[in-house]
Amino acid sequence: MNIVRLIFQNLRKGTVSFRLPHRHECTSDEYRGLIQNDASRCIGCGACAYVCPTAAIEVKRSADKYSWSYDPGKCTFCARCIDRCRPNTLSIESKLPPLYSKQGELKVCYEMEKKKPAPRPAPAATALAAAPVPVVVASAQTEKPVETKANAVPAIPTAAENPA
Amino acid sequence: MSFFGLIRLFIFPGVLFAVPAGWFFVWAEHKAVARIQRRIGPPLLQPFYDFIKLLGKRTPARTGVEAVLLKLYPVFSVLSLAGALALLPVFPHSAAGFSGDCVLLVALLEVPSICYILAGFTSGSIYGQIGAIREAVLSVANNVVLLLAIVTVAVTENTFRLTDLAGPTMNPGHWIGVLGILLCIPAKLRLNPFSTSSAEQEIYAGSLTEYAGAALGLWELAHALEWVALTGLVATLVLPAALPWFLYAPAFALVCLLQVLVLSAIAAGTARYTLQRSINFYWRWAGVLAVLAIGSAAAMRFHL
Repeated sequence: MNIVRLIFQNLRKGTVSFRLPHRHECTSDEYRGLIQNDASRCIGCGACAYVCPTAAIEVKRSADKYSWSYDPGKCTFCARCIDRCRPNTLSIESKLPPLYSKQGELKVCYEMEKKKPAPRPAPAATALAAAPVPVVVASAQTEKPVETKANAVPAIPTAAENPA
Repeated sequence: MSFFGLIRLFIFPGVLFAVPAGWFFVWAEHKAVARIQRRIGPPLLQPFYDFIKLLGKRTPARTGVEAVLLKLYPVFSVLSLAGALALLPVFPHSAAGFSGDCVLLVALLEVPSICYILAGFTSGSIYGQIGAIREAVLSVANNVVLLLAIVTVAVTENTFRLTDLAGPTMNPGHWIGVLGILLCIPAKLRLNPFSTSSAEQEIYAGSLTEYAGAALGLWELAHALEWVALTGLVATLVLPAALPWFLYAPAFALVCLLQVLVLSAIAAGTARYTLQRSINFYWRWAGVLAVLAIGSAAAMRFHL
C-alpha cells in the first residue's frame, strides 16, 4: 500500500517540472553556458576550432581577415576551447542559454582584421634586418610544445657520478 | 450494411470518434503517468503532432518481401481495430450486429497482437525477435483468460451476439467476466507490469525497433485504437443499454477514460514483471478466476 500512498502524495504535491519558456534559474557559478569571445583580443589562431570535438567553433581565414563562428546547437559545453585559448579571450557563461526554435538561431559570427603580431624584443637588430619576420598568424600547429613536468625527466646519474 | 452499421463504422464508435478518442486516451495515459511522477506531461495535442511528424519522416529503404510485409502489418492492425470498433455494441437498442459477432470481435482484437509478433520476426532485428517471442508467450497466457472471461459473459446471457451482451445484469458471472477482461487489458496494451514485450530499457521498442516514419505512425495509431476498443468493450458491458444516445455517448467516453486513468495509475505504480512472472500471474491467478467465473456462469445457466 506504500505505492498507493506515494501516488496520492505525488498528486497532492503538484509538479516539479516547468513548461517552457518557464525554467529554473541557474544557481551554480560553475554552470557551463554559452561560450563568449572577446573579439577585440582574439588573434584568430584557430586553436579553439582545432580542439572543438563537435566543430561548433569554426575559424575561416582569408588573406587579411578571419572569421570566428560559434554554433551553440552543436556545442557540448566541454570547455576544451577555453582551456586551449592562449590569449584568454574565450569565456563561458554561467547562466542558462536562451531558448531558440530555429536551427542555428544562436549562432554568432565575428569577422575581424588580422592582427599584426606583437613586436618582439629585438636582442639582435642586425639579424632581424637581415631576415625580417614574416607576418604569420599563430596557429595551434606552430605553437612550441610546453615543457611539462612529465617531459622534464631528470637525468639519471651515471655510475661514475654516483659511485655509491 | 444498414444505416446504423455505417454510423458505427465511420462515426461512433468508428473512425471519426475512435481516432481522436484514441489520441486523447494516449495523451491521458501519458499525462496521468507524468502527474504521478510529478512531471507536467505532454500537451493535449502531442499524440496528434507525433503522428503527423512520423507521417512526414523519411525512412531507411528496405528491399524485398520484408519491406512490403513490414508496411502491411500496421495497416492490418489499424483496419482490424476499425472493424472491431464497428462491432462494439454501443447504442445496443439499435438492434445492429449479428449472431456470433462476439467471436469476430475477439478475433479482430487479436490481429494487432499477431501482426506485432510477425513484425518482430520479419524485421530481422534481435530486439524485434526477442520482443516478438515475449509477446507471443504472453499473448497465449492472457488470451486464455480473455476468452474464458468473454465466454463467461456469453454463457450468462446464453448468446454470442454483442447487442444482447451489452449492459449490466444481476448475474455475478457477468461481472466476474468483466473483471477478467479488465485484467487482460494491461497485457494487451503492453502496459506495466506486463510490458515485457516492449521493454524500452532492455530491448528498445521490441518488435517495433526497426520501424520508423509512417509505418511507425500507423502502429501508434493502432495502439490508440486498441485503447478505445478494449476499454470500449468493458464500457459496453457495464453501461445500461437503455440509456438514450445523448447520455450513452458521453457515459461511454467517461467510462473509457476512467479505465485509462486507473490503468495508467497501475502502470505508473508498478515495476515491470519478468516474463515468467507475467505468465504465472495469468495462468495461476487470472486463470483460476476465469475458470471459476465460467464454472459459476455455467452452473447458473443450467440451474445446477
